Amino acid sequence: MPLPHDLLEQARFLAQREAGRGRPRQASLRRAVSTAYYAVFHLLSADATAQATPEGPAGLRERVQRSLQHATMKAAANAVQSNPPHPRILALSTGSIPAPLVSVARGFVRLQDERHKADYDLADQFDRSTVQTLITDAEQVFRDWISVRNTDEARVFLAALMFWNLWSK
Amino acid sequence: MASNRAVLAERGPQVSIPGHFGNLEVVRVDVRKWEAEFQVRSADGSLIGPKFPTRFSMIRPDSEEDTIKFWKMLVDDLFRVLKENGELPDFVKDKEVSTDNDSTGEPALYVKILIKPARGEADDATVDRWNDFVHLVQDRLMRLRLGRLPYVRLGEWRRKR
Repeated sequence: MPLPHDLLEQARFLAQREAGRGRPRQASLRRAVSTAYYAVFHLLSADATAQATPEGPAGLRERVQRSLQHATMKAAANAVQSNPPHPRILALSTGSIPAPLVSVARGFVRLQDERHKADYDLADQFDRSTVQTLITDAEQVFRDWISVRNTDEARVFLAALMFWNLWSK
Repeated sequence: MASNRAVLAERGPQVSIPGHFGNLEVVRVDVRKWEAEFQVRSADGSLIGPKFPTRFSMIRPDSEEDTIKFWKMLVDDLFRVLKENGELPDFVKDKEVSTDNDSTGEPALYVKILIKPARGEADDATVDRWNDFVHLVQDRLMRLRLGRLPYVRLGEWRRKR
């Protein structure tokens, strides 16, 4: 199974740990949130890199994928989930933004911010209900992405994930 | 953007009403009209002068209008509208509103919806209902074109001891 799917499965596993024995450990819940975000991150960054980079030489795609930046990806996702979407996105779209793509963008932004809290903000406690909703959201991102990834708007989104901060030039 | 500078030419004791210096204060928020009204609160605590209607999109982060009172009133009004429309589910017990910068340093509005937790692990249908409401609130906030990026979070409601 590819890495993104493995990560998603791992997130679900972590969220279900310590079931029925009182409150689950913060460590399990936080790692579940972080893992769910990285499942979505790798799902999208792999497709973005595949779209922008040839298969060879060996190692090129991995090198390019490593250069993707979380902040740029979040800004691009925000441009898509905005209502209305950012004019630079609309200018390249043949129609309106498909609802599943908006869902993917919204899920990415939500998961990225929660991942940041899970990894760094010890003042914020996570609970099982919250983590369950985040993992379900990540699973929904996977389903929505499969349904929309071959559209023109999704291709624009993938390019924006890589280059959004340079698109004003 | 509303500003008390229409009333107060410059910061300092000299204002249109002699002897008073005021702070801009939100007095009304209407999510259906996408606007809020601000008024000057004088040193003696009374609201003075005209009300300044301001579009939400014009309320910039760290401006005089960007107060936690404004954001709480905005979210309160949104939830009031949701309730009127029959879109506020029973599992919502409370909400918390705060402002901060998000993980990439952008000004953010955080709305934490406190829900009645399930016993143990919630079933998929329940989680879907929770997420549907999170998405609904997120989408409504996005439509308002706010100066802060809205984030809707979920949390388990605990009875206060």
